[in-house]
Amino acid sequence: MLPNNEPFADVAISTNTGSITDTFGNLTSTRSDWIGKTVLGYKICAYAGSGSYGTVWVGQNPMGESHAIKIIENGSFGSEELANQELRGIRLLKEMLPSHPNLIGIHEWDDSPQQLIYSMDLADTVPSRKDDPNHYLPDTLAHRIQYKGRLSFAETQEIVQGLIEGLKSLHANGLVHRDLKPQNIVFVKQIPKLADTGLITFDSSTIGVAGTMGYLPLDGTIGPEADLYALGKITYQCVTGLGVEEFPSIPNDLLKSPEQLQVFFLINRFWNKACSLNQKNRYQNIFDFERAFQKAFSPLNRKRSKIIDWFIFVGILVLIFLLLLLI
Amino acid sequence: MELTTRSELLARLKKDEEDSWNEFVSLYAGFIKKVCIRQNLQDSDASDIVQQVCMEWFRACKGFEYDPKKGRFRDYLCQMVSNAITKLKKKKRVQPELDEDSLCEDDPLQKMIETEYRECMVKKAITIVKSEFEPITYQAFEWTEFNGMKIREVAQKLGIKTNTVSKYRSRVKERLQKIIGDLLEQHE
Repeated sequence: MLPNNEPFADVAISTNTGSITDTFGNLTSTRSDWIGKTVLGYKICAYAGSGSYGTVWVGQNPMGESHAIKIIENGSFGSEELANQELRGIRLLKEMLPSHPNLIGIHEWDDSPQQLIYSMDLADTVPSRKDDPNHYLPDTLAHRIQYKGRLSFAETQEIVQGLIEGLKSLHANGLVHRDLKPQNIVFVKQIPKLADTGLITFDSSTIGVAGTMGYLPLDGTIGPEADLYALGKITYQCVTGLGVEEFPSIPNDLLKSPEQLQVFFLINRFWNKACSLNQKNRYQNIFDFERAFQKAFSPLNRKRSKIIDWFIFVGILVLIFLLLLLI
Repeated sequence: MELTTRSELLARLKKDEEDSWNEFVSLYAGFIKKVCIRQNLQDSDASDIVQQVCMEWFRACKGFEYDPKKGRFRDYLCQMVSNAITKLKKKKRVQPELDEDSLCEDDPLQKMIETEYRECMVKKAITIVKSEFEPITYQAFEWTEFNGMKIREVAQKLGIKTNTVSKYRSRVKERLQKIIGDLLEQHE
C-alpha cells in the first residue's frame, strides 16, 4: 500500500503551532525555518538545494536513515497542472519501478492541497563537504563536470552505462524522463541515478514538449527518442568537459592528443549520430543506442583486457617457475 | 534558428514581451560583461553594469522610436555601456576620468567596445550555424578552419571522404559569413 493516503505519522506541520502551515502559505520560508522540524517522519537536519519548483532538505528518520525531502508549495508552481505533473511523475516511478538501481528511489509522500512533500534517496555529498554535515552539497554529474572538467573515458563509460540501464527500464515500461541533463543525475553510493522525476510521464503522442534547451532535439521530437538525444549530449559533456551549448566543438588538446585518437574519434562519431539534427539519422531506441555506445567505447575494454591478459600471463609464468623450483 | 531583426526585437521589447527581454539579455549580456572585464572591473561590478545597462535600455526603449538616420542602434548601446563604465570608474577612481559625453572614434574604450561587439556577433553566428548543420558537417568546418587540421586528417577522423570534408567546410563557411553579415547589419 502506498503511503500517500496516510496521515502524517509525526506531523510538525501542525495547525496548533501554525508555524509551517503559515510558512507554506506566504512563501517567506527561509532555510532555518525547516531545520529541526519533522516532516513525513523525518527530522530535517540540513538544506540540500532548490529543485524544480521546490526546496530539497536532508531528513533523518527514527531508524537513522537519511533521505532527501522535497517540499513543494502548490502556490509556487504557478498552476495546478504543474503540481499534478510532479505528483504524477513520482507516482509512476514509485508504482512501476520501485527499486531500480539507476533510478532515484521514492519512499513516502503526502499531497495535501497546500503542498506536495516526498522523500527520496539522498545523493552522496560532494567529497569537499564530507566532513561538514550542515553544509550538504549533492554529488551530481553537473558538479563533477564543473569541478573535474572532463571525466576519464572509463568514468564516462561507467556513468553513461548506468544511465542507459535506468532509461531501459523507463522505456520498457512505457515511460519517458523528458528532462535528462547533468543537473538531474545524482550519485547515490557512487551509483549514477536519474533524478528529478517531475517530468516523467507515459510515452504518448499526446505529451507536450518539455525539458531544457540544449538537451531537446530541435526538430521537436518527443518521447523516448528525445531522452536518447539528451543522453548523447551528456556523453559529450562528460568526455569534453564543455557546456552543452558548445556541442559539437572539441577542445584542441583533446583533438590532437595522440593517446586519445582511436577511442575519442569513435566516441565522437557516436554522439554525432545520437545528436543528429535529423531524427531518422539518430538511434531509434535505447538498444540501438546501447549497442553503438558499447562499440564506441570498446577499444577501452580491449585495452583493459590486454592488461589483464598480461597479468595472467606473468602469473602463469611465475607459477610454472615456482613449480619447477619445487620439483 | 531564425534571426530576429533589431527593429523586430525593439518592437517586441516595447510590448513587454518576456521572451524579447530574455533574447535581448542573451544577445548582449555576454558582450557587456566582457567589455567590463577587459576594462579591469571586478566580476561583481561587471555584473552590476550588465544589469544596469539592460534595465536602462529596457526602460528607455519604451519611449524609443528607432530612426536609423539619427544613429546606429549599436552606437547607442555602446554609448550606454561606455557611460556606465566611465561613471563607475569615476566613482571608484580606478583610472583618470574619461569624458563620458564625447566618445570619439579613436577612443580606446570605444574601439574595444566595437571589437567586442563584433566578436559577440560572430559568436552568435556560430551558435546559429551549429543549430543548422549536422554535427559532422560543422566539425569538418571547425577542425579545418579553427583547429588547423589538414583535410585528409579530418576525413580520416570523421570517417568521411576528403572531398566531403571540403564540401562541408565551404557550405558552413558560406553560411557563417552570411549570418555574420546579416547580424552586423541588423544589429548595427
